[in-house]
Parts: sequence; structure tokens; C-alpha cells
Amino acid sequence: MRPIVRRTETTEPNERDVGGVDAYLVRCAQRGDTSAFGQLVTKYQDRVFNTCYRMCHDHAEALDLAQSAFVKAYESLARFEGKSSFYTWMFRIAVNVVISSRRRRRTAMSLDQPGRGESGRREVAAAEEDVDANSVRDELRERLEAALERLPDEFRVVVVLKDVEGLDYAEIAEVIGAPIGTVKSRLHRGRSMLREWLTDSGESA
Amino acid sequence: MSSFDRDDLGADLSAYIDGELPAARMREVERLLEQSPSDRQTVRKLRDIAQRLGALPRQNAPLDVAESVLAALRAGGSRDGATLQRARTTDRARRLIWLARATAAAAVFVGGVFVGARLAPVFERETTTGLGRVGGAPLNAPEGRFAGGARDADREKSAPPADALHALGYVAEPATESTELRLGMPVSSTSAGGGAAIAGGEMPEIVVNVSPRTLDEFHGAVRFVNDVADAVREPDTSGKDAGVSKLSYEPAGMTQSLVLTVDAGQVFNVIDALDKTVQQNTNVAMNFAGSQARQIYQAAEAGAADESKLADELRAPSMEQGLAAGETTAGDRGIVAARRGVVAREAAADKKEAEPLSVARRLQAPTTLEERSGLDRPSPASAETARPAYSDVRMRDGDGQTDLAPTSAPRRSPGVAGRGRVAGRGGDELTRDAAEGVDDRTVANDYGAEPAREASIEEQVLQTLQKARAARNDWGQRGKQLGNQVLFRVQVAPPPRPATAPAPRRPRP
Repeated sequence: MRPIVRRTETTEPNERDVGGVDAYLVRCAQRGDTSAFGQLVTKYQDRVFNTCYRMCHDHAEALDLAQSAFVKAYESLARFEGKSSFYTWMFRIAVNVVISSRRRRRTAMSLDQPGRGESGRREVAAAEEDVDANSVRDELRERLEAALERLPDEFRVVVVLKDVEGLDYAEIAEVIGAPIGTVKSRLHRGRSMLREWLTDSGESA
Repeated sequence: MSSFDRDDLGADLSAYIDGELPAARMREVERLLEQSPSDRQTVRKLRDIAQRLGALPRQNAPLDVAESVLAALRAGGSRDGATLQRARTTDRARRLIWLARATAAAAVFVGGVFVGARLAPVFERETTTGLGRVGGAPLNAPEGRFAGGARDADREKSAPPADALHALGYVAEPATESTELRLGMPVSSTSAGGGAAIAGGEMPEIVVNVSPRTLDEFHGAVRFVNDVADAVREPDTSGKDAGVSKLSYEPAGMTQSLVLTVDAGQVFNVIDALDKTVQQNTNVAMNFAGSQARQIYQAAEAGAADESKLADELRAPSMEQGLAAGETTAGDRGIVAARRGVVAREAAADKKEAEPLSVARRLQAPTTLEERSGLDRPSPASAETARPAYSDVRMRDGDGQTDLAPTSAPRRSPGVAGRGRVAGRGGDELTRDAAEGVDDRTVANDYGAEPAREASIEEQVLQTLQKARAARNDWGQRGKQLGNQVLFRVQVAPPPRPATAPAPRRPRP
């Protein structure tokens, strides 16, 4: 049997838009094919959810935010012109949804609860007190997560998109709608704050 | 390091560990780091933070996010209203149902293991016929083995109306509607290069155009296109090539296209090869439909009419009339029987050589005719002189001798001898002969008498005709019912998903 076509493994579904698949699905969805949009949701739900989770550190809230982001993306799909890739556009919506939600929550909390930053510091302290219940590794991870949550949103989103989701600077700039120089400086400041807080909390980094 | 602004150095150190600095800046930073232990320490700490962030466990979404979102969209939900909550509630209920089903399935599986062990040889046989290939990993698009670039946009026509296909039962699930396969040009236009210029000067092309809408369907479509490419380029079990002279792979986004340039007269062989490929792919289904098919059907109908005419001729109504009158002589019977025998023999011979479908035979006819005309044909002049003319054959009826010829004697075309074996050929020649006033009996007469074996031969011819009609109906029936542009429709079902989830992506160190 003569080999006509070399068969190779395809990319994983969660990889970025290989062969224009996303663009094709977007066009289908723009024509009203909800199943095509469902494919896009399936493809990016984990990354969007993980980003939301790293931004709010709460599973239920992250699920709400991710779903809201996808619904909002569908509602805005007619305005998506394909100038950027779908996934950066999707991340931009998700980040905006998360930041808007947290802003609303902060406003509500400021009326009847202590400030968020204080809460964040309490969680760092709580993590420090929980050493006995966790392995050293878990403890370090919890400290990092608590410190991450303490970061101001504008720094946290950059840190999450870069170090957690692996976007490059240009993609992050597209997501947050800021120049690359801003991304670079915010990322450095975010990492520096994390390093400083972790050092203060007893790590010898 | 004069080019460094110390205020920017920190950001550049971060960018350095991310590989985001221009090359020149990167070299400057590297030189700086060689000289500055404190900056090296900063880089080490920043890299450590970045790596630890990248190593944080990924939080995967619940599997039903897409369902929830789509449910909210179907319900016209807003992004943070009660709709999503309802969708999640529904999803929770669905999860419970799924759990119950999974439990039941597990119980069935336990029983199935025993049964499956007993049936294992059966499954092995099925696998060898091709069913086993379906479970494989998804494939990439085939790579550049194929020549060719972008095709005309007119080949990217829209799919047939879904309701028409549903009416015929072609698409079982509306959600998996997907693909189509169509002829790029009318079958009646065939190749001059193949020596058979029937209606055009271009090689016929079959365009296999599969347009998946989802990623899973894309994988199935690529698999199918691979298999088609294999099938049409491979000789079949009898060693006969499918007749594809050129194969071009032309993907466009998710759409997978194969353009098969087909040898004249081999269109149906290629279609047969495609059909077999579909049969061996449990993740695709192909159906015959459309106006192209209708054209074929109509052509076949015309052929059938001609074949019916031939059969009528074989029954020799004039002879029957003579026999009924009881006044034919032995010599008359012999002549007429011989005439029928020749016609029947030639028809049978032609049918044996030809494609089972009369349309395919039509495509081959000119070439065949050309070949035959150079063989054992007497020249028109010798045919005129060496054999008795049709008008000389006479039978007795009640009133005496009656000329069997039509009241107006047939015009003896110079091409009569060359088309001597017109019986059994397709409709074009019969039509042409009819236009020229030549009938089969004239032709048979040109070829003289042979001993009569007509009865059994005639029966064989009729059986062949019946088979040809049955095959033709199978091809043409669906096309007759649909009036669209699509010849085939291929439905690609998603292949099985990989058993293991993909590994989470990690940022660059």
C-alpha cells in the first residue's frame, strides 16, 4: 500500500488557533451556530476558568465569572472583527468581567466590611498559622496564592496572564489594552511585590 | 552600561527572564549581570517567583461549562442573571442523571466483559475490514504530497437544504451536520486527452469537499480525506487502478478538499472507490444526492429507453407477425433468426465489456467505437456488396411477400458498417443512428447470418438489462428526489475523544 498522506498527531484542543480553527468557529458562531460557539467554550473554558480563579481565588465565583465572560463574549461576538485572535479577545473579556466584579464587590465591602487588603493580609497570616496542617510544599504554595490574591488587580492580572497562563507581552498588552512597556513594568512590580511579601512572611527567597 | 536607565533596569530584568528583550538589549543585560552580583540575585528571585507561579496547580473548569453557557444562551440569559444559576441547577441535575447512568453502564460493562470474551473473534474480523481504524488518534491535515493551490470560489457552494436531506434520512442528528462531497463538473463533460471528447475538452474532476464545523468533525474529515487519498490511488483487489490521474489536496481553514482528476470513463470507478472508503469509515456516511445525480439518472433513463428499444428489436416483431401468420419459410426464419442472433450476440458482448452502468458505457463508447472501427469492420462499400441488403430480405404474410423494410427504405449511411455493433452501446449511437435512419436490423443484416442461438442470448441480454437498470436506479433514485447542487453528502461524526486530558500548558522558564 503506497503511503499517500503522512499521518501525524494533531495539536491538543487547548492549544491556540492552529490552522484558523478558531476563526472558522467564530464565523460559524457569528452566523448563529451556537454549537460552534460551544466548541470555542469547550476549548478555552479551562484557561478562562483558571484565570478567573487565580484572580478571585474562589471556585464558585470563578465559575460564575467564567460563564459570564463566555455569555458576554457571545453577546459581543458580532462586534468581533477578527483583528486579534479569539483567545486574546476572550481573555480580555474575562479579565474585564473579573475586574468589574471585584470592583463592585469592593464597593459593597467598603460600606459594611473591613478592606480587602486587610483581608488579604489576614489570609497570609492564616496560611502562616496553618503550618502544622500542611506540608512545607503546600505551605509555600498557599503563601504564594495568598500573596497573589493580595496583589492589586492591575498587577495581578498581568502576573497571572504571564506566569500562570503563559501569554507573551504582546498578547497581554492586547488583553489589557495597554502598551507593552506598561505590561513590562507592571509585571516587574507585581513580581517584586510578591517576592517582597514572601520574604517578609519568612521565606528566604 | 550607559544605555541603562536604572529605573528601567528592574523591568528589563523581568523581561530578560521572560525572553522578551530585543537581542541587543539582551546582550547588554547579560553583560551587566556578569558584573553585578546583586542584579544576578534579583534575576534569580524573579525567576523563582515566575516558576513557582507557573507551577501552581491548574484549576480546570467543570466539564459542563459549555453546556451551561449554551443553555443560558438558548434561554436568552444575561451574563450574570438568574439564567446561569438555573443552568447550573439543571447541570447539577444532569450530573446526577449522568452518575446514575454511569453506574448502570458500569454494571452492564461488567456483564459485557464476559460476553465480549466469547465474541472476541468476531470483533477481530470486523477490525480487519477497517472498522478498527476509527478509534485512532486525531490526525493532522495531510502534508504537501499534493500539488495545487486555491480553487475557484464557485466550488465552495453552500450545502443542500438541511430539510431536504432530513426528509431523505441522510442526516440523523442536526447537530452533526457537516460536510459535503460534490462533483466539480458535469459528468457528461469528459476528456479530450483520454480520446473521448463527448462534450468538453477538460478532464473530469471530482471535488471531495468536506467542511466540518467543529474541531472533532475536523479530525474526522481529515481522517476521511486521508483515506480517500489512499483509496483512489490504490489498485483494487483485482489490480485495477481507480483511474485518478492527478490528486490535489487543497485545505482552506477547516475545510478539507481533494480534487481528483479522473481518467475519461473512470468516473464511476472513482465513485465506487469513494463509496468503499465511506463504507470502511464508521465516522462518515455518504449519500448520493443532487442535480448531478439527477443528470446521471436522466441519462440512464435515456439509456434504458434505448435498451428497451433494443430488447424490442430482439423480439423481432416482424418475425413474430410472420410466424403468427404461419407462412414464413425456413429460409426466412433462418435469416431473421440469424439477424436476431447477431444482434443479441453483439449486445451481449458489448455489455460484457462495458461498465455495468449505461452512463459509464456512454463515457467509454467513443473510445471503444474508435477501436472497434479499426478492427473487423468491412468497409462501407464491401458491406454494401458482400452482404445482402436489408431490403432484399422478405417474408411471406397472408397477402404474399412483404418487404420487411420500412415503407421508406433506410438511408444507407457510409458509417453503417463502422457502427455495426451499435446494439448494446449507449444511447448516443442509437440516437445518432435513428437520426440517420438506420436501425439495428439493418446493421445486423450488414453482418450476415449466423446460426440461431438467439433465445438464450436474448435472455442473457435481458438479464443484463435488468441488472443495469437496478444498478442505475440505485445511483439515480436519490438524485431524482433532490434538486440541489450536491452530489454526495458526507456526515462526519466526532471520533472518540482522547482518553487522557491534555497536559496543562506551562509558561516558559
